[in-house]
Amino acid sequence: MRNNIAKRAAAIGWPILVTALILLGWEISVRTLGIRSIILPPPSTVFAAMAERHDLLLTHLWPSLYLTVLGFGLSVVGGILVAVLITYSTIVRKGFYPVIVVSQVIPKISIAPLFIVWFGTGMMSSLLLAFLVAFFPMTINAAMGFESIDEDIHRMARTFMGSRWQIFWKIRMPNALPYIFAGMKISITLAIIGVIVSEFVASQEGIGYLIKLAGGLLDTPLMLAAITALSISGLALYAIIAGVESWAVYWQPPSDAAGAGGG
Amino acid sequence: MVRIAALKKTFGELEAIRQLSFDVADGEFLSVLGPSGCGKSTLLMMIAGLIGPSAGEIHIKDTKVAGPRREVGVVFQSPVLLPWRTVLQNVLFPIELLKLPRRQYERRAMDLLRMAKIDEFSGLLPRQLSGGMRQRVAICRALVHDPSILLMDEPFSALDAITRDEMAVELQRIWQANRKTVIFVTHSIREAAFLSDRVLVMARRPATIIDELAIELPRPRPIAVTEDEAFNRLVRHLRNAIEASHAE
Repeated sequence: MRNNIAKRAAAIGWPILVTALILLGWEISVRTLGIRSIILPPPSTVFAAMAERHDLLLTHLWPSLYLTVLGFGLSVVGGILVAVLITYSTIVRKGFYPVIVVSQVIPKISIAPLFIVWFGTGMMSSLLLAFLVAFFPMTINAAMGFESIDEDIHRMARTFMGSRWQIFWKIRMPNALPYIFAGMKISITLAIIGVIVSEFVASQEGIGYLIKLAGGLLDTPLMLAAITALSISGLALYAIIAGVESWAVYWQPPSDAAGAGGG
Repeated sequence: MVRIAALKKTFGELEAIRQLSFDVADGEFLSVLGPSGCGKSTLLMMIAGLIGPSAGEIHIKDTKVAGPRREVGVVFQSPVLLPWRTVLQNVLFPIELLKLPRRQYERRAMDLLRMAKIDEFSGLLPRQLSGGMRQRVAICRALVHDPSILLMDEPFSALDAITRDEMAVELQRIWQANRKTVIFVTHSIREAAFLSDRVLVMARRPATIIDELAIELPRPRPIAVTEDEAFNRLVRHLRNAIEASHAE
């Protein structure tokens, strides 16, 4: 038990230590080499900019996060629904699934300008791009989860006269949960990228717009402050999903503790 | 109780089972003994109604088997427990699928777990149990809806030798307490001789019955019975039958 806690602490402690060292190295080298703030401001300046202009940052962060979460949510619902179709419809599985998998090759970000043409420079384009990039990993993961049922489990349920409906809700769905969460972790990251890229291309608000704007003004501290705020938000969203996962997928031992807890 | 008449199963060109006929009496413990891949699992899946025969018929209680039935419980080679359900929830899984009153069967499930000596683990998840305990849970699950027939497909083959002996003794005890009709498929001569009232010896593909042996050792049989001369005579007899079929 004590060993476990020590392991957990080490798992969090080391990356924090490394991050602190990188920031310290960054601070020291920028100062000693006399690099101008316009090229690379030291972390202290970035944090100062964050504190000073938090109103501006939050004003732009909010719509971006809102669209990210909304696009992500839609991709989760849509992805799971399409995965159900893939599981139960031969036509969808044989016809559409391969197309979905192959279409993964398309760098979906490149569609952003097209979306602007279609849906304008407003929130709709950002939302749809976030949805589009987040949708595919969701679908593929959920479909894998629904289909990766052990043949023996399926047989067992059939001997007890389980209906398709029961087999879906009592076996396929819980079985797919770990896959769905793995897909969600990929999708949330992609949804952020989708929104930011769309805001880069054409938008009047959002953290992507702010980064571009600050770049144009050569306000590097603001740019880095915006990137930092965005990264922290992304990390928080990811952490929320990981937290829900460890609660929902309670039957899977955390991969780290598996060795320590076994026996 | 169970009547198998002129049963035949082919998979494409492959003839898995040829002309199999036998009866199983009410409350009988019957073992089907044969080498791996002799079609005995296929036979069991057909009795369970999971796959249909190519020819011939299976009757349970004078009605023809056309699909899975309530009065049959199956134990598979692996425990096939659902990892997200506790031991008790796994045992109650058939009750949910069959839409039987859960409250009423919860007591029965606990009784079964007590009988299998795993009631103290009822709240644990499968991953927290050993292989032998998991298979005990699977046996409880197969019995929870009170089927009259229990089909077992090499249920102990994944366990170590010591646990196997222990499980055989346990199974005998559970069977004596419940008196189900059991059809037990195995490739272990010792297990078949120890557990059964009667052993059918099957030859490899195509599967046919080449020998039948009644085991009349008194019950309950302690594991020590396996060292008796009478027991070893039976084992020798079964082994000779299997070897003779290979020589052909």
